[in-house]
Amino acid sequence: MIIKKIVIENFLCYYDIKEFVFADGLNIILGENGEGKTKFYEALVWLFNGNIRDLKSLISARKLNELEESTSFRVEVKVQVEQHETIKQVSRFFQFEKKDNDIHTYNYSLEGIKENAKGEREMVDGNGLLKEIFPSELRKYSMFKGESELNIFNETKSLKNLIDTFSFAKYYNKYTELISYSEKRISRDIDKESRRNKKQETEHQRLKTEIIIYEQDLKRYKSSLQIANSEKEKSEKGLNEIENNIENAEEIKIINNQIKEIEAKIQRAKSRIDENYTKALLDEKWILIHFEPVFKEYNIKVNSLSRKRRKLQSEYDREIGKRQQRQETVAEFVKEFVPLPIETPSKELMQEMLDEEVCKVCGREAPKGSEAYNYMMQKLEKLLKSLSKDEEEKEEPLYKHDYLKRLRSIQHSQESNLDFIKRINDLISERYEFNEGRKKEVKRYEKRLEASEADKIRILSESNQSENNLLNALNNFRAFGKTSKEATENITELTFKIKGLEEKINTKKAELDKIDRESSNKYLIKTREVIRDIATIFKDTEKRKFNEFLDILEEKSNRIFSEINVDAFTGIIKFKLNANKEVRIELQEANGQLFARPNQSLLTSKYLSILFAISELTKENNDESFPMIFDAPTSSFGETKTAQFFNLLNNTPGQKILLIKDFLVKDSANNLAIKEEFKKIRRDKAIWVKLERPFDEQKLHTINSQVIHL
Amino acid sequence: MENLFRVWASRIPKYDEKFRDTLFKSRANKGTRDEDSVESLGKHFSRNYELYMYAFFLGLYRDLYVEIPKEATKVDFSHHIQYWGNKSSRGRESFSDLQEYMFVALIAKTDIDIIALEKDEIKVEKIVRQLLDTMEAYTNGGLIFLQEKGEENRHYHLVPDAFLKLILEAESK
Repeated sequence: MIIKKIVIENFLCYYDIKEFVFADGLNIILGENGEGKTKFYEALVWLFNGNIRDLKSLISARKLNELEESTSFRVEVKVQVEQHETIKQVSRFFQFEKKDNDIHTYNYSLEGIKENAKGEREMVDGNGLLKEIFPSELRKYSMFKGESELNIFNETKSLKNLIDTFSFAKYYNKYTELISYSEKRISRDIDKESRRNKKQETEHQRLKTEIIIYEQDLKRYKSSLQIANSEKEKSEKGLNEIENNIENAEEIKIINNQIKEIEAKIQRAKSRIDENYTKALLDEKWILIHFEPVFKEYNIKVNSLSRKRRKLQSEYDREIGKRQQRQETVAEFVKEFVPLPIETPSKELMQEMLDEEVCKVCGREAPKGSEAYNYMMQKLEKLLKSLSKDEEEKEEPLYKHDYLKRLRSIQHSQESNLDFIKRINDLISERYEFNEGRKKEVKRYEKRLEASEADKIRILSESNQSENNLLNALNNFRAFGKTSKEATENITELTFKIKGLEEKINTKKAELDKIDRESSNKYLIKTREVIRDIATIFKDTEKRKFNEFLDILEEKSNRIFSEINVDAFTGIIKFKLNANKEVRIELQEANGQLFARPNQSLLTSKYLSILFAISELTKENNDESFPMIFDAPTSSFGETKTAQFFNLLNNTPGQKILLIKDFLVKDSANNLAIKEEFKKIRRDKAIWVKLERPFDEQKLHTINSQVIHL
Repeated sequence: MENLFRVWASRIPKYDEKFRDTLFKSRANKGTRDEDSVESLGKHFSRNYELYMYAFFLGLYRDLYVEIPKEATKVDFSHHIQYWGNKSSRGRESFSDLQEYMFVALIAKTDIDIIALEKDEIKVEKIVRQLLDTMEAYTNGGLIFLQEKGEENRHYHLVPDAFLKLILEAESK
């Protein structure tokens, strides 16, 4: 089948009628992102699968904007194909109109038209025709959007569907069932015959019961074996994946410990940094740094007050002394002469003069009892009396309080703190230096931390794994190993048991056959033997065909795979049949080892290879090929690889329609143009979908994708 | 022994109300964001009297004797000088002995007549009032300085040694 033409009318960004005319072979549709490629693909999906969303939302915004009251238009996607020399056309469409300012849709239908060689046209059922031109089970392997949809074979179910669709094995199924039925029927007849012989009936029954019990056990063991096999496979797959990562995981673990240690050191260094300088101003009294002059000022003031206080006190005292003396001497002055001050000569001198009986003031002797002696005696008594009078008669004190005493005591206590105040400057410098030292330490550690983290990122990016995965791998390694070992032991044991049981069943069946042969009709026995042989042949053939199909698929896929990745290391695609009869696809290295982490480009080419292999098989099986339609399948390919891929496609039979955004470039005026390199791409047809300029990407109603056939 | 220090320390000095919102309240608002105030002073001074003491020494060293204007409302934070720095919270040292240094500075800087006091010619309250006036004037000077610093650069206090530097720089004043 070849798609000749696709017509899109008023569908999303395709305003009015747009025609895509295709050739057999390679068709390339170029388009920048957002200019209509994907909408083209969606139009096809809508045509083939029907409603993907609300009909109204499919109408071209520009058409809607222009729509006048009571006018109607059509949204349609139509495909015209050539199949077995007949032109066939399927179209899905609906009408829409504006009524009372509201949009109504109606006449939604799928329509088929066939046109024979004579040009006679005939309307047929659209659904039927759609299945005829492009069966849905084939579309599944023929239409893909983006790279991510390509990996449909990761599910074993998809592979089974594929094999059911393409392998000859399926043709054997119905015969296998028929033969199994015939064998049952004939065995029943033989049973009946055997039981007629009363003697052998008991023995026959015993054998049959035993076989049933053995078969039940066998079934149980086989199911356990299946579980064990699947466990073994799973754990080995796990081990395989982990083995590639175990070294990285161990390295990550070491680096993580290093990081932890460094972080602790940083934490420690940071915690030692004390930058609470304001707190230190008070708590450590750094605020006193300039206090010395203030304190000196205080000292001067207190000392001067103290001096003043004493001076005043002494003046006051003298004043009192004079006052008292004046009172005593005034009386004597009246009768005698002005005396010496009462304290002259002193008490001691007076006593000395009396003892020596000499007046040392006038230098004359003054024997005891003489007038001079008596005068001196009298004077001493007066002096003593005046002195005792001072003590007896207290004058009112000058000061009522002594606040200065406390001020002086503060002075003394502060004096001893001066040394500390002088050292504050050094203390502050020391703190700054200490903190700087710790900061440098932190910086040093941070550099080491950075280096360790860079190492970690490098390892993670090399292993293409998340950190958690790697660390889990380390933890799971032992668990997987244990499971794998246990499963292997189980498998050995179960296989042995199954073999034993199968032998027992065969022995019992042989005994039963012997009874049957002795008691039944020879013809029936022969017939059953023939049927059993046929059953074995069919079973083996089905298995062989199945394997053959896989071999062919594998061979074709690998050929295409190496062609896409010419000159590059690819590995080998392997279709593996496991013990549970499930097929898995693996990418292996030349030595049979699992290719651990293929990149997206390799994965994409792997899937594309398988899909093209399927396409080839389809052609061989059905004697007909179907188009392959891919929207942006090669985003991860570079332009060179894309070009190689296209050249390869050009050499393969069948129709291909590829939508890509490569080979377009914006010139200095922001206008889109096709690159020169595109000329080198061999193709049968090239179309460029491009938004009509100017447009406003914020306003959908200005959008119209043009279809330019290059 | 008559003790002027004890009488003085039993008092609460005041400050100009205008600094309550701009400087003092900022530490009361600790934990909330108030972009209009010098928000992070609270990070440096955990109690109001700490800022008061700081402003006093700042004013003293920079010789910023600025009496609180007569028309200004004077407020306080109900915490007697004798308790300043007494109660050491977790991770803090007591600095109550700074009280005595402040007293020493006030005696040095205030023109008081101790002789008259001792002669009982004037009352102790008068002297203490004079000391408090000096204290409030230097603190006011320090607060004005901080306020202006904040207006010049509202983020000046974000470096950890901002307040230490202001004290160190005061040496040349």
